[in-house]
Amino acid sequence: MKNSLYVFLISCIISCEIKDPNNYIIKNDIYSENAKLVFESLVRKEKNDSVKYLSDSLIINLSNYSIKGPYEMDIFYDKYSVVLNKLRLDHKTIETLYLDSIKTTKHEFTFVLNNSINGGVYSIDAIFLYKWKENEIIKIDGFFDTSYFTNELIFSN
Amino acid sequence: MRYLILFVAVVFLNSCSDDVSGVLVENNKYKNIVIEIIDAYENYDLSILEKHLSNDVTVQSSTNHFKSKQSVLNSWNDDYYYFSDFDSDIKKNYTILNSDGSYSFFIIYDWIANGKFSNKRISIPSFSEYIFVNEKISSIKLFFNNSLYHKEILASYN
Repeated sequence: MKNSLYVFLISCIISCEIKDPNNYIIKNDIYSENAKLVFESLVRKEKNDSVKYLSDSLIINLSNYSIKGPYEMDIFYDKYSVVLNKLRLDHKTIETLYLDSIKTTKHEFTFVLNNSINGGVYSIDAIFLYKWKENEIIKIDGFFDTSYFTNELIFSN
Repeated sequence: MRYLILFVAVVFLNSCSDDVSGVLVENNKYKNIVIEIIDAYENYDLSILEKHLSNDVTVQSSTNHFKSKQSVLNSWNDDYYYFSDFDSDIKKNYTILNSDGSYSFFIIYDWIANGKFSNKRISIPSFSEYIFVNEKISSIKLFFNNSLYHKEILASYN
């Protein structure tokens, strides 16, 4: 009885620290699984079922480079398709949480890219954040080193 | 008492679901430590960083991996050779209590500095994660676009 009371009191102390029951970080939920599918499709430029999760007004921020809407997405593909076609994605963790009341999926993975100059392999660790509005992704923020993509693009052409 | 709280927290998180990897918490302790580290770094002082690093800390930085306190300090110290007048524009930050009892502090910010060789002021959107185990930083993950940094290194050769 005494132990139960002790555990209950400690749980209360912890629950005071927890902001909100919605603030659990969930792995392998429907949002993270869909975000992974969407990202694979974006990289491969595949028009599959996962496109329905993309907002028409989607904004993608890749560090200092911004892509707004389908027209700019096409320009991006035209420029980088040589590199995108060679990319492999090694997914590490993908999980969903509420950040400032916005459902956000955090995706950590590695871009794997073969070097066309010396045959070596680049491994570029990346974090992408997907912001959801209802069942659509409205914004993607990507943080990673783009230097190798630019080098590869120059040498591939 | 602290370990008992952590134990109960871990049991509590694990009992929710196997797919719960942590919970967002109101905890300014780790935020304050990281902000203090960043403020000191911007004033050319790495002693605060050194104080909070565990001896076998690892750093993952997009395409580089460092292990040990000294190699981390050396890599941060390199910034001072190429850049000056550091600043940061913090966009968002949050703390997570992980299901293994560690804490992760995430910060999304623009890293801003003057290139000493190009004389250009640059701003790089960045995402960092500091993982605290037993009150020490055991791991730092830094995700940002190195291309502007590399341009400054190239400018130093000219």
